[in-house]
Amino acid sequence: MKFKKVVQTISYLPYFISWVVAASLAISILSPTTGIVNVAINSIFGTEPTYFMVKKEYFRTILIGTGIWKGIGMSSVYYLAAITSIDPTLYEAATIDGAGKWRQTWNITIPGLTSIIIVLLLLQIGSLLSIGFEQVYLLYNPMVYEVADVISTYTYRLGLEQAQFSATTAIGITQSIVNFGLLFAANKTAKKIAGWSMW
Amino acid sequence: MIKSKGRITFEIINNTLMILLCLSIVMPFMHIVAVSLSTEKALVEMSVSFWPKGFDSRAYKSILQDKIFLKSFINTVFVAGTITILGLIVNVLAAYGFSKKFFGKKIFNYYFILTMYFSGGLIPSYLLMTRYLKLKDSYLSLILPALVSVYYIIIIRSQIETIPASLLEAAKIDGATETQALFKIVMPTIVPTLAAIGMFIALGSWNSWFNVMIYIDDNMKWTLQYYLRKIVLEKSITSGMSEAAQKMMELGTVDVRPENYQNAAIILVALPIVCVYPFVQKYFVKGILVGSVKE
Repeated sequence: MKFKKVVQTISYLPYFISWVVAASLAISILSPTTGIVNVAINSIFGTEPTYFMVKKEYFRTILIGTGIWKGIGMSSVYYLAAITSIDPTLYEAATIDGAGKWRQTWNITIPGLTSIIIVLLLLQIGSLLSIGFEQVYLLYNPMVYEVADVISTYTYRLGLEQAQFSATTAIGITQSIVNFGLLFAANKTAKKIAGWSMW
Repeated sequence: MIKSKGRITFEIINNTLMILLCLSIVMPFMHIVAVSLSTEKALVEMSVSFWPKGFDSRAYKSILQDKIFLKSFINTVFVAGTITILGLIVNVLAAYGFSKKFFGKKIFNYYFILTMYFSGGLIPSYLLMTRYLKLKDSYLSLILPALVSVYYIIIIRSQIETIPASLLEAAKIDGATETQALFKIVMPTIVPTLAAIGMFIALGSWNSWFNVMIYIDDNMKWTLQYYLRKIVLEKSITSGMSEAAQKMMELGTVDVRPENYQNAAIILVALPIVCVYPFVQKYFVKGILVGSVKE
């Protein structure tokens, strides 16, 4: 039990530090001069240090990796809550009927999780197009603009650095409309599949 | 209890994965601490991994003596505190209003909820703050936009709606005014929700930096996260060096590398959250479940 509590405390931590701290951690670890990744590669393979942050082929991995690192602890809270809310008598009945652990997972746990997955999906889908500004903005640099730019960072540069106000506002409104459309569609689908919807 | 073989296998794999997860979180921090405390020679040789080589705490000393860092810390406490307290007040009042029936309630309902999905975007907000409200470079530009959150209003409202109407009617019969009903009946019931929401507001405002970036010019009005961004992430266009390297030159401590300074800044900025968090963590977890899964 103690171990479980320690794991929980540690794994929730990245959710609470800001993206500035998380991005600085990533940049410092991948630094070509002092970063641990390069130190390890250097001592094991003896090759020259690579400057990970400016290489296009690594950037998306870094982005996704840091995103998962930061969110995994807290996301598990939602799913844990959903799993514990599944009626234990279902599991007992399944055991009596002779179901193994894998079959129980497939037939009881996952359907029980469907509603929470749909709730979270609906909540997230409304921001599909506008997502990720802070994370991308803090991690990227001019060398990786081609692979790194998402709509929000690109419009930020257009608007506040090149002062193309009308273009950026138009993009912003289009984002809102598309997000809303996606949300609407997802809502209708969810109603059909799970009988649950946002309104 | 005799464990089956499958159970033992599961526990071994599970525990290993959990340990790996924790290591992936703890080790970056250890590395940052190590680099921030190592001597320059060790850093150049690329021999520092998880434990400092040599001991050189000058980076920490110079940051802790940096007026801008200390002012940033105070600013962040001030802004986050103000947003939390004022935000709770504003959201509770709005939620209480929305729990009553009034003329035009449906329209206001749609109006508020609409803002959850649609917003003008960055440029209109910027123009509003700087041109029309003339709040550029003021703390209000950080505080005002963060006060109203329709999401929290909805959560608080649904909590208020769980109070039986007969209770409020009885209070009215006894001669209580609306304000008294709010404070004496509604508030005590929703205090756990408010505590959870308050923590989320505090966390969000503590970690915000982008609003400082676009609205604030005066470096005495920075907040902590923006300070960190300036030091570590922003490369100065004129000289191609980061702020940290420039600061090194200014302070005259040329043999302390910018990496020491940057990593020390990371640790010092992350420290408040890391220290406070273990104690409030379980309230956060409970709080998240208030708004989401309803049994």
